[in-house]
Amino acid sequence: MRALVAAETPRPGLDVELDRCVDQLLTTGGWEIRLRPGMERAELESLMRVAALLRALSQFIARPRPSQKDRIWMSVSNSFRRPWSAAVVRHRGRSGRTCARPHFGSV
Amino acid sequence: MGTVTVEGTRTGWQPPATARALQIDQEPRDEAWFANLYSQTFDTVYHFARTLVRDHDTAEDIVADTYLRAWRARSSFSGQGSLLSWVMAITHNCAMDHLRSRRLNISLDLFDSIGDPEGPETGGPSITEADAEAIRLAITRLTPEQQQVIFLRFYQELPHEAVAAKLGKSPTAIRQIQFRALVRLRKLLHEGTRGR
Repeated sequence: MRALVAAETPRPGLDVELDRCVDQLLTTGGWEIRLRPGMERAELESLMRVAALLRALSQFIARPRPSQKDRIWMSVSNSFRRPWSAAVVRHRGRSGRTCARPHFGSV
Repeated sequence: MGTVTVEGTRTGWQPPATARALQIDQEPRDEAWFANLYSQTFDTVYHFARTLVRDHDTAEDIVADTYLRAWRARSSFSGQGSLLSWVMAITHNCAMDHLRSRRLNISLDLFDSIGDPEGPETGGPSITEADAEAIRLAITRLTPEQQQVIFLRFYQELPHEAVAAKLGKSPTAIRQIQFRALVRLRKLLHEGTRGR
């Protein structure tokens, strides 16, 4: 366990360079490692490939629609107002329209 | 009883609009308080749930369960840490409950095929649905703290200073958590590749 933690602890400055490369990836889609060839550069290249996977996957994740926010709120608020019926959250239900509603425009 | 900054910002640094701290009264933790919490965190929580599970129906179930649990456990939040981090930890637990009944089997073959970094015009690596599921499952094996950092950094595309502000941690801590999370993901993905 100690070896695992040690292996995952970044060497001084390496986490900073990795973060800079991640910033580049997120803003331009590419990255350039400013280290000489060696173990640390190879380590960063390897980690940036993982980072590129995450960025690619993130493009597939849909954002919520306003109607979902409204519908789920109705379900949740209805459930906590009537806890005896909340063993299973029925978030698709349309009841509970009289409960307090959040101000969705403030996000 | 005044308004408190649940997710404090760092001196001298102004977060972008997407990373502004939540402004929520500590007390009373009534329906209005909860509605405010829901309003300010829903988009992030839903997006986070979609990061952890494949389909939107399941994500909706997890989000609804998250807020129901948050309502029931609202008195347990001490007010010392980040409220968003607290809600996201609940989301993590709900997702884990959902995934626990499923077989978490990572099988990924694209990791070794990724070449050198590519510019924006090339679009980076392509990912199939199966690959996406494998990465998603690997993410679920990170610690809740690592998941939050990876999500806010890569999925919400926030700079590390903004992630720090949202989670109530220092920028240095965020960089180190990010580093460890990527090391852990690499290990998980390699294990999945070897296990094929």
